[in-house]
Amino acid sequence: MTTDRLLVIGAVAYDPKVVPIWESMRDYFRDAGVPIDYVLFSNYEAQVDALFARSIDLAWNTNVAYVKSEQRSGGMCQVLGMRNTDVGFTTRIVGRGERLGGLGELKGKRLALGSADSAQAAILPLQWLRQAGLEPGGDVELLRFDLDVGKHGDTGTSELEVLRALHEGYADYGAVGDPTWIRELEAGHVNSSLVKSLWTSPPYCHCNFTALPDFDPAWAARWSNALLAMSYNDPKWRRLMDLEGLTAWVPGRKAGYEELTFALSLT
Amino acid sequence: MGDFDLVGITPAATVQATGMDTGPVLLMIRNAVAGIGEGDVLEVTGGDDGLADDIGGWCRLNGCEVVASLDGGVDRTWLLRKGPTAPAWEQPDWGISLPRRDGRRIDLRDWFEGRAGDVPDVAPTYYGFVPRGAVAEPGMPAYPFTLNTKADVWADNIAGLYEQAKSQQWNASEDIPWDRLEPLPEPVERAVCQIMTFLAENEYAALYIPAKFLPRINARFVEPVLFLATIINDEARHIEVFTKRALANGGGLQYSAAMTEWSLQSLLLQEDYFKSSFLLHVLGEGTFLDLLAFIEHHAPDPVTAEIVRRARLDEGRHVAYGIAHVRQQLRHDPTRVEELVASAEERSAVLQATTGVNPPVLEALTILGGGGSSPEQRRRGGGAVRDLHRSMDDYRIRRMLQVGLDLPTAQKISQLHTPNFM
Repeated sequence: MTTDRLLVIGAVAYDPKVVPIWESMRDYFRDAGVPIDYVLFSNYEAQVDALFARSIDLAWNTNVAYVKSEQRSGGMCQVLGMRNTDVGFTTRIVGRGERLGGLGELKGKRLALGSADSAQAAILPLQWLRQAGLEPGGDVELLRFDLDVGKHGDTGTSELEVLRALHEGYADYGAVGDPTWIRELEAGHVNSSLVKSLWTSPPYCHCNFTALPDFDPAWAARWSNALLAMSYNDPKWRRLMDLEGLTAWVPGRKAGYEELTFALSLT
Repeated sequence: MGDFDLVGITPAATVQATGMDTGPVLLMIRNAVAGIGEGDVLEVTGGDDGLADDIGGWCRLNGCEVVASLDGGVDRTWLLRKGPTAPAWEQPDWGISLPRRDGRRIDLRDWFEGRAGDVPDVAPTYYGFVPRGAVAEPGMPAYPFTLNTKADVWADNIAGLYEQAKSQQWNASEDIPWDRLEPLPEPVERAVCQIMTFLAENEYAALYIPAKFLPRINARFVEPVLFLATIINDEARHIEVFTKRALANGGGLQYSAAMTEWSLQSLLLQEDYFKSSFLLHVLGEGTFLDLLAFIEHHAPDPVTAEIVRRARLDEGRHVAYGIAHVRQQLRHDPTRVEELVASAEERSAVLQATTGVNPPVLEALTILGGGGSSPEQRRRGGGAVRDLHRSMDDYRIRRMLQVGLDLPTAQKISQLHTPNFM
């Protein structure tokens, strides 16, 4: 049996709130009968290394960390669950002016991007510019906010800088993930008569729990089932889910990472 | 989903977004979704293509689904279905209009209307400071309240007592005729100053004890909280006025006996609100009513008389709360009588280790009761103090009978009561 030890999960400490999130996760899985412990990393590259060194069983990965894990495992990693908000994730091109028919219209403009290792605010927008036939940095002037590199955009600080650049007028357009965009809009931090969402990317997937290909499938299934049973309507776990930004856990899926896989294969 | 499938959908609520910026519209959508039921549909009308994307993003992040997007020409309309994990709030009241007394007053006794008037028997700790009747968002933190049942703190006369407390407030600086204070013979002024010292000392306990319990009361039971706040303010005023009287007329604060401090400490250390309420409000402040009446009756000057008259009116409210509260507790659970007897016995045991007397106060009461310090006056005063003790015992027993104790139990507890009066 595999239950004679704790299942160890890696997570990246991108914010102090990560500690209460994982303390609460530990309580939850203890109650659920699949006890876990967690290990915090300062960056996703170290976490992925630890996964392959087998010092952790699962990695709570960004999409970039997952795709890199896939590349190292020959596309055989297991995905054991994700947030409902990780499915259908989009990037917004926001700015002043009219809605965009396509990203080709960015030619000759200044585009603000978030952290270089953020899928939503840098890697994927650059890929879509190339698809639209534009040379980033040549046809489009880039304004880059490479903050908190190693955290894959988790801190959100670079996206807030993108929005600030738009409000202050030193960028024409900017790329942000839709959670940041919607949250800032709703909080009243965006002057929405001035700065609007002008283009929405195709949907893709974001974070997931990644396991190595040979991780015990029975243990994986028991853990996944426990994860999926967490209810937003149980006040005991609601704070954890609010902090982590989800209202339900959903089964892991491997679809939704194709464009990012392609973009990362070029680097 | 085609239009055909939508026949029969009646939106539970509508958000009119025409001409509005996206940020405020999303906030309106959130609040509207919170107020409809799971599976209900919210209609959003107006707005442009940009809003379409933002509504979609909002729904994805907030457990809702866009079931239709209709192009009505100038304006677009969206139908959003609320999912099981969307923000969910209960419905607050609307249309409440409290009655007026005498055509103008809104009395606390009349505010038990709608959700606000629903006083639960047991209150969960996770409502914190949410005003009773307001709608709480799910996921609130638990508060460290320990008095979480109505029986723990309630008294049926609580709202009326609170109204009385407000209308009978007074100002120890302005409402006492300090200008009528004349010099008194020294033994008499010393007696007054000693008694004022003793009264002030006891009133510290009467302030600290309700102040200690107040934050333990679940805020669902707001009426006892408000009333305790008036007790605390009353006692603050009493400390002030008794101290001022001791300092006002050429004398000063006098002696404090260790027995008094042992007695008050044993009251302060009581951690059970039911027992504390009985010991402080029923027995202690009840006994003080008789003491204050005695001082008023024998007061050598109109200022002292007015001070204790006003203080006694205030104490009467505290005693009325204690009697009603303890009586209701005992009706709720008659076996708790044993706890009252035990608490009186425990306290008596603590005080056994003291001298059991307060010589400076006893002498001061004697001089006051006799009107001076001559042998004849002291003899007369001694008789008055003996009468006072008898009447204290008599009224203590009556108050306990009002609470619902039987006569033998009341007599037993009265005998055990502290020689400190409070």
